[in-house]
Amino acid sequence: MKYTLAILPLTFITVSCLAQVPFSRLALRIQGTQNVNQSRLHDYWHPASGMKVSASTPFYTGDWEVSLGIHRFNNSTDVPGFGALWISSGWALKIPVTHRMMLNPGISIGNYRMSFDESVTGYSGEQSESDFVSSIGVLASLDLGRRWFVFSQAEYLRVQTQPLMHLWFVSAGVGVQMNMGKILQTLLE
Amino acid sequence: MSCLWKICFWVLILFGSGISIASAQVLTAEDLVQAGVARLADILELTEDWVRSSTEGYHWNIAPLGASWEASPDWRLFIDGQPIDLHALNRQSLNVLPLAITGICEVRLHTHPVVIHGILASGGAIQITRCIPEAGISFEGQFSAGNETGDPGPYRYTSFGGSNVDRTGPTVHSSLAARSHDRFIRVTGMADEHHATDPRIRPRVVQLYQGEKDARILHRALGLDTGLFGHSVNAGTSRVEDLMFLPFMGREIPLDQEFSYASASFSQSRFRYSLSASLAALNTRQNPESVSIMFTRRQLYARASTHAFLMGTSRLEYGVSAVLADARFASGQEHDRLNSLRVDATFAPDLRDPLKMKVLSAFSLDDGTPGYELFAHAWHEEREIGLRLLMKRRALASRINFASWVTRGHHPGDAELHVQDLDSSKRESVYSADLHWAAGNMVRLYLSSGIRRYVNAVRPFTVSALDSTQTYLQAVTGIISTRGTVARTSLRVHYPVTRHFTFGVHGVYAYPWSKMHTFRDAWHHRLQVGLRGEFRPSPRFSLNLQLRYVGSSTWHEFERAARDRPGFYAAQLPGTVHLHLTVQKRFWSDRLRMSATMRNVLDHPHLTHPAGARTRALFQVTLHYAFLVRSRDVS
Repeated sequence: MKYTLAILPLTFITVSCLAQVPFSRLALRIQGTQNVNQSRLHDYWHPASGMKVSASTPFYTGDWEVSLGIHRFNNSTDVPGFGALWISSGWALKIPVTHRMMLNPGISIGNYRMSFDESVTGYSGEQSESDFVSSIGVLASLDLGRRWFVFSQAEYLRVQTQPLMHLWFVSAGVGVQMNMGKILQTLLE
Repeated sequence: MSCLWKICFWVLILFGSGISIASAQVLTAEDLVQAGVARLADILELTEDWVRSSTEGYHWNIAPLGASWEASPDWRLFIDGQPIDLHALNRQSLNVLPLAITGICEVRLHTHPVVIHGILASGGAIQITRCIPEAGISFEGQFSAGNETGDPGPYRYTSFGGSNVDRTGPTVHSSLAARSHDRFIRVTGMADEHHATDPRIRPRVVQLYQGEKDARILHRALGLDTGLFGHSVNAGTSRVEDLMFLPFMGREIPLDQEFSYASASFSQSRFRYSLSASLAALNTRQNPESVSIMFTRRQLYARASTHAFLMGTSRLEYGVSAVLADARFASGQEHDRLNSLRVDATFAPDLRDPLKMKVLSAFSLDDGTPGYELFAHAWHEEREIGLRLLMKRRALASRINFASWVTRGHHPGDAELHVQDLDSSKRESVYSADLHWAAGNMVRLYLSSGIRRYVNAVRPFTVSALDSTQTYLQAVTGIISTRGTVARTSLRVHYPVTRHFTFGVHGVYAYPWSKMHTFRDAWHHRLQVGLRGEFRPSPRFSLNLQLRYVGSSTWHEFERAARDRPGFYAAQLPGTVHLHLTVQKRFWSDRLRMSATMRNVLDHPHLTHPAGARTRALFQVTLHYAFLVRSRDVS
């Protein structure tokens, strides 16, 4: 986490040459996600597929994006399963590979909220827990024309529980780009 | 500390070589927003010379390093120029104030003696100044929520998961104001919540805590301030459902804390008056062991002053002030009063520019005991060098704090309190000298040194051991008279590297010496250094970085507890590195501002108090909103 957050100010300082018109466009993405790694967590829970929606817009440099993802971990032993809601905000670079292909490495931070099938503590109403999450990933997109694009993404999540949760996700999806409306652009500027 | 260090200190102090003090550290509203400050106590994260400790991460015991006692702080608080007494049984917690962060224009932190409206704050001061609302109707506020890392998550259901750690917030500050010409009124509301569930304090907390939800501190407050026809009137009330760690009780006590205040001031031509009244009350909630602490303090402060010009432009201000304090203990069965009367005169002679000077002399009658204060500040405006000298001798009753009530025979709760054979006619004395110097134009350097001598300083000294169940602390508190000297030196450098990037470093060191260990043990910290950076690639986006190293701290009062349970308590806490990072963005033409803050980015769990929770990384999101409808006479 400390390295993820340390990258942020350094990158901003060094990529000022990539400045652009901020908030001029909006890209919406929807993707299916799958957790693919094995860790201590997976001794007790099996990951099910999930999905994620994102919106990104050009920032002063790079892209600023907001994402909402959901996925579930089913129990494989006598522990309760849980659903996870992951809300994050991040920043990504744009690296054109070809005329139609682009790579977007990025980082994000956010909140990872787990809702357990059973209560967490003995107190009333406490069936969920939230923790800080940081992630780093890379997205590869292919422009299909007419503002549509397909993409795949590999992402590493680090959920700051004790002990840590290390989660690798791969995903694929489709997205659309559009001009940002005047109202939305005024709101974001 | 070796003799060599002592000699170096005296050399630096006497010759002021490279060490001087800036007059005060000033934090603006913009500084607070850019650093992601969500609570009043978070302001102390931005201070350079103040140290702090907490058991649960909500109420912070703070003090300017080397200028005020850490264990029983005597710094003064001023809100819009009015003195406000926050003391409640030896604690001053900024988070109890019914004051919205969003209304603060400036926070000025003094780490040396300072005179503010005729009041001499010998142990430093915090001055909070609120903004006058803009003309029209404005609605402003802030919402924050955060979470400390280290929760077990799903691992709670396994053998290697622990229990939940603290969550902070939601913290809500909101205000509605209306202003026309020079008249305004503003109403504010605050709500806050903090979970006290860290595994280190949880066993103590749940001994007495009873509630439907997990142990938490709840804060609700309302405030009002208005300016009418030159009069400034402020009022506020706050209620805290608290889990207050009282050192003399050795554990967290579930109690309801109330703090209310009202103040008024007026200044026109040569006349000025200032009135303030405050109420601080502590009442224990129902608990399984029937532990009971009941304390109520009402205090009234009034001052009237006028000024005259002598010999042309030399200014003489003189005033008279009175403090009446009424305290009740144990359901009102014990009742006591303290009063203090003071006359003061401040003379600012018209010296040849750029030399300036200000001298204050005051005489007081504290519960019948006479006392005096002499303070002089001389400075050279062009060379930016100055000297402050202080002599103060007043009765303990002038401080109206925990020690003064206990010496008068009041024992809150069932605490074991022993009062040393004190001579009630003796007065506490403080003598200090502070030298300050600033230099540079683009790169600014601020240096300061100071030395402070205390004689017959009465303070509580608590020794903590474990109880038979090894769960909470058995504390024995003595009210004792001590004497000693403390020297401090601090440095600040401010450097605007580029148009978009500014950088600053700071450091402060304090060293007490005395033949009495009770004096030396009152100063837990010695060293604090840090740097800060601010990167603003655009007026609408900023990155703020605060890096601080707090040197190791020593807590001799926990030596016995550390021997009883060495893996849990420690008399010495190691030095810690704190790194805080805030990203902040404005939206919708400044109506909205959002910031994400990561405190303790390096995620080094550390203690700030031997009996306290471990502080881990904290992630916090804050949304600030401000809407204004301008009145026709402005637009």
